Amino acid sequence: MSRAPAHALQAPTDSRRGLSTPAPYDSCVFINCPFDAPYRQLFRALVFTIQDCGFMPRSALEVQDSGEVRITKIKRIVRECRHGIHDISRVELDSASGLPRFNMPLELGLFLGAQEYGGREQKEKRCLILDQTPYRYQVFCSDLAGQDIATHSGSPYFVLKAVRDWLASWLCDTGVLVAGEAHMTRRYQEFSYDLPHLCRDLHLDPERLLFAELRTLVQEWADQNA
Amino acid sequence: MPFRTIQKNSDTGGLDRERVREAVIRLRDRKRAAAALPSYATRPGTGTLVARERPLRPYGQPARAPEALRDESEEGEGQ
Repeated sequence: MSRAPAHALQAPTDSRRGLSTPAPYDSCVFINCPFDAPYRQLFRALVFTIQDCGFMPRSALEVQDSGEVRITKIKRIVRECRHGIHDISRVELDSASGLPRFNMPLELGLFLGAQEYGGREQKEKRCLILDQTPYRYQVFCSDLAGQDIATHSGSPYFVLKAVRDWLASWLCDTGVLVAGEAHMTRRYQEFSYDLPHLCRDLHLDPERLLFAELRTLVQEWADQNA
Repeated sequence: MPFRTIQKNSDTGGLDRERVREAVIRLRDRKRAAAALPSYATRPGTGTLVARERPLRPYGQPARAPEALRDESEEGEGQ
């Protein structure tokens, strides 16, 4: 399996904040999904698959800077990412407030807006929209009815498959092949088994990992277990 | 050059990347060493360590004393 996408050597984007080493636009994948505990397994599968395909996962959680307005941070990260994964499956009412959360559809709208109205680079954006069950999105977000949406049924393995296939199809066009779904699934299972051991060794709480910590752990694990 | 190499000094959330790498290598080597032991096996594909299956104790039969188990393991070593 090649672990060096053809797009890796492109010039980094210019960013005032964010990563200390700016990542190439073509390598960055914006993750727009719930960040709550029930979604944790799926989130880890997302981060793992993106990195195992050789891309850089980005999220609004990557920088904790009270000096930057949240929506400004999200817009900056969206601008820096060619790829976007948007999971709009969280449609349940919030147990505390009794109201739904609209952050995911809002960020999907930002991404699609950048793709539509942005410059040449922004027009090259591509996205994967995920929901839990097929056709449900046509009820709660009917404007997306014409889109091709992948479903995950709440399983990290279906998330892995959807994300792997989506990234692999783009990499194929650039002449890079990634490992198949079965191989990547086995690697994900092994990483899931190793993660608590690594966290114990590093005095980290696996249930309270920061996004940047998880990303670093996945990066190093993938490098040493290539 | 792999993208991850470029990302060597990127934002890690305060984690020391060298420490993480050492921990990953330690765990990987520990798993490989344990896989070589006769009482453990790696699960096919995933590489996770599992204890090798042993025959179940027949119902009603008392558990063997630790001394007996120790004797058995010493015999095994001598062979």
